[in-house]
This record gives sequence, structure tokens and C-alpha cells, in this order.
Amino acid sequence: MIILPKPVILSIDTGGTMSDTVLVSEDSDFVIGKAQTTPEFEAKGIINSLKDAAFKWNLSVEDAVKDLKIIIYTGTIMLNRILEYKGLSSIGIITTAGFEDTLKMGRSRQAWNTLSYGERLHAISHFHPKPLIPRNLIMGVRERVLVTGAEAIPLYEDEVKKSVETLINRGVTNIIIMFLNSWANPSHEIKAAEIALNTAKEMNKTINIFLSHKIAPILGELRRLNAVVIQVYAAEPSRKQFELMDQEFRKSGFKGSLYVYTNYGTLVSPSFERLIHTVKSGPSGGNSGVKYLADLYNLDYIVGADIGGTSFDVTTIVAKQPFIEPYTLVSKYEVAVPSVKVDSIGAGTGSFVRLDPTTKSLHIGPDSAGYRIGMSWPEGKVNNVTLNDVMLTLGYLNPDYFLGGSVKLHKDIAVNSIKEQIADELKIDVIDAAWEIYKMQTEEMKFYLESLIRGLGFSPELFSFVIYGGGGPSMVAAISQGLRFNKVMVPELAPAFSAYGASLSDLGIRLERSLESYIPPLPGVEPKGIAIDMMNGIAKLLNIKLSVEELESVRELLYTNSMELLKAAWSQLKDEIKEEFEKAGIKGEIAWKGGIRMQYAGMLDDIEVSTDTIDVTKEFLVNISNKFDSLFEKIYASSARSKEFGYVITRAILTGYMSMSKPFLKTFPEEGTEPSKTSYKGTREIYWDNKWVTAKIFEMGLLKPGNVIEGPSIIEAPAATFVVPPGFRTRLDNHRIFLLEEAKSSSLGGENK
Amino acid sequence: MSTTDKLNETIKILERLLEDKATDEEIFKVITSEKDPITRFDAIISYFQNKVPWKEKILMPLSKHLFIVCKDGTPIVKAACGYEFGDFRINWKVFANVRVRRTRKEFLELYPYFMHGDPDWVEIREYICPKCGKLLAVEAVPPGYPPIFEYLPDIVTFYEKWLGREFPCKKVEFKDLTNEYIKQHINP
Repeated sequence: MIILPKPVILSIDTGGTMSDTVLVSEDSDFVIGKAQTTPEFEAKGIINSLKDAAFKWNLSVEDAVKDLKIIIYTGTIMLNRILEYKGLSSIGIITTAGFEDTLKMGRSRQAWNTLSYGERLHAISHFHPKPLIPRNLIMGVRERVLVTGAEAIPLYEDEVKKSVETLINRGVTNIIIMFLNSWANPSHEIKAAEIALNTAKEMNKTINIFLSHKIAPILGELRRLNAVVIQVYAAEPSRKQFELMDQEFRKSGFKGSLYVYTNYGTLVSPSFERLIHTVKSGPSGGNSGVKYLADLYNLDYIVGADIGGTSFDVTTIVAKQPFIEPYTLVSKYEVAVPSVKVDSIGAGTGSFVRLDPTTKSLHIGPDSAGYRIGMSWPEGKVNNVTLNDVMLTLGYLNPDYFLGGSVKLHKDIAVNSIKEQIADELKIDVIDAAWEIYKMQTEEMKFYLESLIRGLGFSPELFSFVIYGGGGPSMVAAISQGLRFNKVMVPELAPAFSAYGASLSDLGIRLERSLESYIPPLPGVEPKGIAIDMMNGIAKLLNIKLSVEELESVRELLYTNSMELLKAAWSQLKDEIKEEFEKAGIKGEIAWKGGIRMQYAGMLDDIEVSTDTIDVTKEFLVNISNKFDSLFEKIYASSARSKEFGYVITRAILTGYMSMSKPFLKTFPEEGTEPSKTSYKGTREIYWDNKWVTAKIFEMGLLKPGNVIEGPSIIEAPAATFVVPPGFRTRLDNHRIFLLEEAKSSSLGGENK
Repeated sequence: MSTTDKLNETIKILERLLEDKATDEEIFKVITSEKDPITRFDAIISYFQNKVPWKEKILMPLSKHLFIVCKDGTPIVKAACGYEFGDFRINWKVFANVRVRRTRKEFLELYPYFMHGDPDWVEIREYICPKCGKLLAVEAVPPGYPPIFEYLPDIVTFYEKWLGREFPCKKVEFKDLTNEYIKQHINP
């Protein structure tokens, strides 16, 4: 009797081009499925992708689903809702009088944040994003709380009542309340919510209220308001969509739980109040995968690059930790929620290739054919050459094995189109044109990668490089050539690496809140400048001269104050996280990881410092300040440190984790270097570096760990094509990850210790 | 894509831009994508030619309402509504109805106090189509300043040297005839 694998985890990643699924079995075997994304009805693409995966294990969808413990969703449901302006309508805002135009005025960088460097230069290409809430549904109410939390103007309660009445009469059923500095003192928001509910009751209406300090208690009204608006506009309707998805799976016999992957690499239940934390789950999945490799291979520095159909996304792991940014860019909006740092350019396998008709210069992207592949797939109705067409022309892609042969490509159309649109215009040979396009695209990616790494203050030699996404393996050699990375890794599961990465996560909620807390220079450091001003504070105001002893006691007083503020912030965050887990019905031990954002007093940029203990004592304060000093030194320079000014804590961060059973990359026994006969599929002519060479073709799934493949070779898998050019060689290691090296400098033998 | 398809696509884009129907994304695409020297001129001519109720061939548009057309073999300025202004080398403003605002009171009818010039230095001239009454242009200039000749193209050179085709009307000398015309018609 054949024992069929029993899938326990299903991880889904819907991108702009492909919907990927990874099924993981009880004993950590996995299989990946891929299908074209169906933007008009996402579930269809997901089910097709799941069918593709289940089929490889000879399972029906029902069989694949019935024993699943968890389903993990990552993808772009919410992002699409914003991009297409198809979110929840009937939202109104009540805000501090005088700030009604906050959304409309936005921030100048919102107009160019998402543009390429070239386009940023030209003001004519700057467009401000359209406010998601129309101006006539935004009401101002007089009140004012200062940044210290003190009330300067009381809440004009009758104005709240009138505004609510107006909004309800205009058809509003969801009211957002955002007052200035509500993160420091939320009492006005709470009071206004109470009045709004009462007013609605009097009018016999039911309304939902959303408070800015609940969604994002962060300094800065635009990012805070954007966070609440996107939460209500895009995330709340998604909650319902997740419920439907859950029901859909339950119909097929699913009995486990559905979780959504967050921007920062954890899983949350769809009932999570701040569901906006999952808005950018798509690109973050890869980061979890890269972090896993960092731990598995004991590498401190890794850069990961994802080449999909539409974009090239880069993410980094430094000192085994992901880079988490204090705000997120959602479409063009800046939003006060944390997310893993992912940098993107609009370059993928579906990128359009064009000649400027006037200057005859070559342009690739930033727009792309996405799931429509290119001209070589006539069903896609694309009328412009794409990078897929180029790679087909150069012999890298197999026209009969694209997506395992389910999509048939036509090489002749690709060649003719490149000839017609590019080569003839430039009066060059069609193959030369294709090679130059491929080279130009990979060079651009290489420069981008290098500039990001150097921008962090490192040199590429320090980093290992992981490439994934459907297009990654076909470009990895050209991109990494010459950058002298420590290791170049191509996981066998590259096409679904992001989805797989998501399945490696724990349940976890990360909450942040702003804080303004001054820590004087540490004991033994003589205060200078701003530190003396801060410590003299009241004395100066009252014109009293403090003695040295008195000044020291002020220093102690300020330490205590800082400790109290941080303690209070963390304990509040702790309660909120506990409450969230309870609400989702998740029981278990919560592991805590703290963090604060800190800067030297008087500086503008803060840095996140993480800590394993959240027990605030004076010793803790000294330790974390020291940790900040050394982190600052790594990022900037030791001479730029300003210990004598003291420190400011700007944000308290707390993550509560609950660990889950996770898959792991299995270790396989290594076999000989010679690939087996069954894996060998024949030869194909490929064009590399201005000449045709004969490449051996291998089937990726049939290669064994330990096998070494010399270039020129093509290693084919249904959803990816790994190009090993002449002068390169690759070895499949015991975790089924290909290590790519230039043959000259080879040390592939026993390097993977 | 064939040239006809491309032409039709460009005409559609122009229509959306000129009729204020284009979204920010569409405008952004036009701004950032490569310029098309081959079909764009023909596209804008054929867009306007389909819009106007008369048959004379448009040689070049001056604005959404004014065009240089070939009337009985000579290039003249003609409005969309059908009014004919005369030889395109004479500033069409000379033939238009004009309303001049000279006093503070007249300025204030349109422009708030701190948002207009000093009437001692500036007058505002509004040029109006004699046939349909459409406001064609506004200029703010010192009193006595001649009407600004906004656009006098060397149209024959443009056709022959830039587009590389025969000028489809009478080849006229490139010259500003406005002063001559005024001299003939105003001086006794």
C-alpha cells in the first residue's frame, strides 16, 4: 500500500502574477503549486494553485485540505483594494478643527515615494494620492491636547454631536476619530466616541467607531490617520473576505485555523484589531525564509532578492535580524505601522522592453505584462516584447515546459517580435539585441543590489545572496557575477519561497506606541549642552542655581521617570497583546520580546534597539543605552556618538510570540557529484556572452544532493529555470539548495559546514 | 501594432486628456512614457477634424477652439464654431471681440483684492469669439501694449522639414502681417 503524504500546513501567496501555494506534510516534506493569479476572483487562482500542488502528491483538493492544521495567507488582497479605490465607502472622519485637510495635503514625499529615481527628478510626474475619504465626510471639532498630553483646549462636546449628526445624515456608518496627540492622551477620543455612540442611538442608527490611538498610538497625525483610514477602508472588508475564504476551505473539509501573515513576519488571526499589520504581507514572506536560512547556515548577513513577474524586491538580514521599519508605504500612503524593510524596483520577467522612438534608447519596465507573460503567449494578448520573450529567444526558457507545460509558449513569435520591435529599429542582429536586453536588465538589478548593500554601510563580500521567485534562478548568475558574495544560494523551492517562508513563522503580535522620555547621560558621563539644559529645566525657569549634588539628584529623578514611562507603556502593550490572543481563542505561553526606538537628545533619526527582557530597572536602562551606543557606532560612526547629551526614547515596542509547530528543511544524505542519468534531459543551444553554446538540460527534481552541475547547463523545474552559464558551476547541497559559484574560484567541495 | 491601430489608440488617449476624463494614472503614463514622433501629430489633427462641424482641412491646432485651416487654398484661422478670423499670419485677436477691464471696480468683479494687478499698470483684455461668444484668451498687459501674438508657426517649414511631407495648402511666406493689417484698416 502506498502511504500518501498528510499535509498539515498550507501556505498561500497571491502575487500580481502568480498565486503560489506550499503544502507541508507532517514530516516536513513539501510540494509547491503555482497558477496564474485571477485578479477578478482571487479564490479561483488559489484553488487552482492548490490543485497543482496536491496533484503532485496524487491528492484531491479534499484530501489535501482535510487534515490541515493551519492555512496561512499572504498576498495582496488589501493592497489591491487601495490601488483600485474599491474599499469600504460610507466612512466619515471627526478630527481636530483646522486639520480637516490632513489627508488632502498629505506630505510631499507621498507624491514621489514610489517613483524611480529618474521620475523623482521631474516634478511633472509627481501626483499626490487621491484621499480615500471625500472632504465632505471630514468634520473638524474644536479641542487641543499638547504633545505632553496636557489638555490645552477642552473638547467642544456639542460640536462632536453636531458633526456626528451631519455625518450620519450624509450616509456614514463608520466613524473614525483622530485628534492631535491622542497617542499621548486619548481622553478626547474616548469621550468623543461615547458622544458619537449616544448620538447614533438617539437617531436610531448603528455605527462603528474607530479611534486613532487604538490602531496606531504613534506621533505624527498624517501617518496615524492614514493607518486608521486604511484599516477601515481596506482591512475591515478583508476581514469578511478571510471569513469567506475560511468557509470555502471548511466546505472541503478543513478543520484547522486560518491565519494571516503580517508585514513583520508573524501570523495573526483575522480577528486581530489592527489587521492593517497584514497589508503588505506579500513581500515580507521572503524575509522569513531568508531569516530561516540565516539560522540554518549560521550566516549573519544575507541579502534576499525576489524576482517575480512584475517586480524585483530586495530584503536584508543583518546580524541575523530582519530590518524593521517604523512605518510602511502602502501604495503611496505613509502609514504608522511597522513592516520589514523591502526595497523594490519595477523589474520582473514580465517587464516590457521598448525602444524610445525618438532617441532609440532601450527601456525596460517599470510596467509589466504580469500574468500575461509576453508576446510568446498569444492568449495573453500582449503587444509588446517582455523579458520572458527575451529569455525564450536566448534559449534559457523551454517553450514546452513553462509552468510545467500548462502554458505553451511560441518561440518563433518571441524571436520575430524582438526582431520587429527592437533589432530592426537598431539595425542589429536579433540575438544580439536579446542578449543586450538581458544583460541590461541584470546589470540594473546588480547595481540596485549593490547600492542597497553599500547604502547600509557594508560591502557585498560580507553578505550571502539568496535568490527566489519564479524569475530568480534564470538571472542569478548574471546578477551575482562580480559582486563576490560569500555564498550564492538558489533554493529548489525558489518559485514559492515567499509562501514557504510564511509557513516558518510563529504566531505573533507586534505593537508599538510613541513615547517622549528623556534619559540623562549615563552615570560617569559628564553632561554637556542639551543635557545640562534638560536637567536644569525648572531651576532655570525659576532662576535657581542648582548645586552639583542637586543636579545629580535631578539626574536620578529623570532616570526614574524614564523607567516609569517605559514600564507603563510596556505593561499596556502587554495587556493589549494578551487580549488579542484571548479574542482569537489562542491559548498558550506567550514569549515576550521588547524593543525601543532611541536617539541621542537633539538628533532627528531614531534606531530600534531590541531586548529580550522587559523588566525595567536602572541596570536595564544602562544596558540598553550601551546597546544603543554600539548599534549607533555600527550604523554611523563612533565619533558621531553623543553620549554626553543623553538619550530620548521615542517609541516602546513589544512583540508577543506563541510558538507553533513549523516545517524545517530536511537534511538529505549527500550522494556522488555525478548527476544521475534519469535527471539528464538532453541538450539545448543557449546564447551567453555573445556566443552560442550547447547546454546540458537537467530536471531539477531528479537531481540528488551532492550532484555538481558544470555550466553551460539549464536546470529545469515546472515553475523555474535555473541558468548555469559557462564558467559557472553549482552543487545541490543536503538541504536541496543550489550553491552557485564561478568555476575558477571553486571551493564547492566541502564548504557547507 | 499597426500604424492605424496605434493612431486610433493615440486618438483615444488624446480624447481622454483633452476632455478631462483621464485619471492621474493615465496622465502619469503619458508623461513618463516615450514620446511618439510618428503618429502623434496626425492623431491630434484627426481628433480635432472629427470634432469640428466644418469640412476645411485642419493644418495645425492653435487651441481647443482655434485652428489654422486651408480655406479655398489659403491658410487661415478658423474657430470650432465656424467663425473665420483671416490669414493666420495676422494675430487673430485683431478680429475678435474684446472686453477691456481698466478700473479696480472691474478687476474686483473677477479677482479678489490682493489677487490682481494695479490698474495704473495693468489692463485685462478678454478676447471673445464674435460668433459663439466663447472666451478665447485673456491677457494682462500694460495699457497701450499691442495684443500679444501668442503663436505664429512657420507652418510650411514645419510640414516640409519636420514632417517631411508636402504642405497641403498654398505656400505662404513666414512673416507677421499684423502691423500691416492694422495700418491698412485703422489709419485713414
